[in-house]
Amino acid sequence: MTSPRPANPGLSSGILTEASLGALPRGAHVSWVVGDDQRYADVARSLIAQGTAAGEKVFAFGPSGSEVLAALETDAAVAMDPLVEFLNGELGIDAMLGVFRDQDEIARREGYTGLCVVADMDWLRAADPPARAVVQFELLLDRVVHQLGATVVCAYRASSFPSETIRGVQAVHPFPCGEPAPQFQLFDEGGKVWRLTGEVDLAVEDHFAVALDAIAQEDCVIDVAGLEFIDVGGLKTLARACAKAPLRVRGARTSLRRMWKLGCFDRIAPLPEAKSSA
Amino acid sequence: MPTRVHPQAGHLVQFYEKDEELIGAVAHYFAHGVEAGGSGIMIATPAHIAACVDAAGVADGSILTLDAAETLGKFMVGGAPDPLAFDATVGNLVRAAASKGAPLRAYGEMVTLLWEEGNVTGALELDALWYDLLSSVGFSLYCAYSTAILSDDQAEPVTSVRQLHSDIVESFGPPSAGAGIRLLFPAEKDSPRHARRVVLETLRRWGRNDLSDDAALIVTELASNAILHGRGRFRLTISSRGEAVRIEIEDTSTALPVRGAAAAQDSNGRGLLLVDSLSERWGVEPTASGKIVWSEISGVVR
Repeated sequence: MTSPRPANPGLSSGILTEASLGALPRGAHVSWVVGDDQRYADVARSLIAQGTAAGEKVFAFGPSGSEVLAALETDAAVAMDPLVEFLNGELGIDAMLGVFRDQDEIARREGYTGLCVVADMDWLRAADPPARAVVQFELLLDRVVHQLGATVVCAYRASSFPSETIRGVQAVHPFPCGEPAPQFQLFDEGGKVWRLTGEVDLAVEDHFAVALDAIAQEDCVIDVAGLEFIDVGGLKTLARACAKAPLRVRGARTSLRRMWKLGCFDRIAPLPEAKSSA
Repeated sequence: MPTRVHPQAGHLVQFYEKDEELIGAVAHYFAHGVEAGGSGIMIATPAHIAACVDAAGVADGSILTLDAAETLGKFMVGGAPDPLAFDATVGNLVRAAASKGAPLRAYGEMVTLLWEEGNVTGALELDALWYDLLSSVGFSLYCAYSTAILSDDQAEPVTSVRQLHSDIVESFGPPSAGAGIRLLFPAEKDSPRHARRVVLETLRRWGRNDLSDDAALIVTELASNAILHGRGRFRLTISSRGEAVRIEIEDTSTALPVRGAAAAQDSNGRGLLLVDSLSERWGVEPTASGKIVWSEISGVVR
């Protein structure tokens, strides 16, 4: 059994209402689709206060020159534009993940219980990344956030990002908040396991392909016990990912196994099943 | 979700082309019920209410009438029906009327109003709430869908409204021969998911959950093909044929689906390979404007 997220014995994933941002479980990785500035500012303050109360070192991220970010300077331990401060203007995913690890270590040495990041994701816009890069970033970040036990809220303004990006990121956070609610979810479960839930079909085929592509970089397991439905197109994407990296599938329902066989995917590869660890 | 349905529950779903057809049918439905000592609830547009009550010629007060749009306003929240609010409004009304002892007949247009607005998800959710209410309270529910929501320049006229001279209250459980649902879906990527919902919900009402997995796959593949290779909207028909359930997707592309080794390389071919494996039998029928791809499943282990 994979270990639950640190400091969060209850909920390990779920679709959040905005109200629940007022009492966020520690260690949660949230994507929050936000409408307007005032709303963001108010909730950000609350999130910062919650992190501080939990002994976390709170970082407020935002685009340089943002008034909202400036206003949060007094509340958070650190307020900055990560693109400027850490990344030299480019979304280097490895660099960013390294930053999280480094800052977590520093924070703990300074006596904090861990990291808390409240991010106005408009900071990403200057780098103008395509949707696929943002989704990949968030997926890999999820793993790091989980490992570090960091509490991270990524606020995406509906007005700043194309709907393709918004839908893509909503699907790859364990705690999506705001519209649209994702049709499927893929997120880190710990111990090289990713969890896939919901329904995969035409409506989300591109997002699914982008998400799988982002994780098919290394040996890992996809837990599909919570996958309610997947169509032939989705299975084809899964089969391609399994062929590309040593991906294994765990918890496949009888219907998925049957589909794999009937759809002749077993001519590409037998369904690569992981041994279920109890 | 209730697993047992009240023995007195009945559901009739029909499509109509002209208002006069509808008025006549609904008036007959209520008149018949009142004559047998029952009562009625009608939730419809003011125009339909006025015309039906007039045509039914029943005594004042035997049919409780409500404006459909206004009633919707009482429980719709952000485009979705709130189950608790629905129960507190419609649920209470129905239970109160049904508790008087006389058989209750209800007619509703709220689901079709939502569908006409383009709120397909809301319509399906409301339909499910009606079903739950129907299952727990013994009354009969008649829902009518205008073919305006199905209208398509090239479509053939929908099978005409069933004759009402025979028993007009159908009971749940195994559907009577030919019972079914026919709905038009927009050319959107979300449509296969909506079609799946309709199919699963219908199978649930027919007590055929044994077919759910296969039906979900089949309808999704056929609907996805229609979206990807068809030229516009597609029409889903799900009907019962004895032990078998038939799913049809009609679209306006004349390109015929191909199943074969070479075709198996692409999603389309692979999808049909699956339909072939899961179906008892399946086929393609050209129509005036396109084609119908159909599949029958019966739960017989092959």
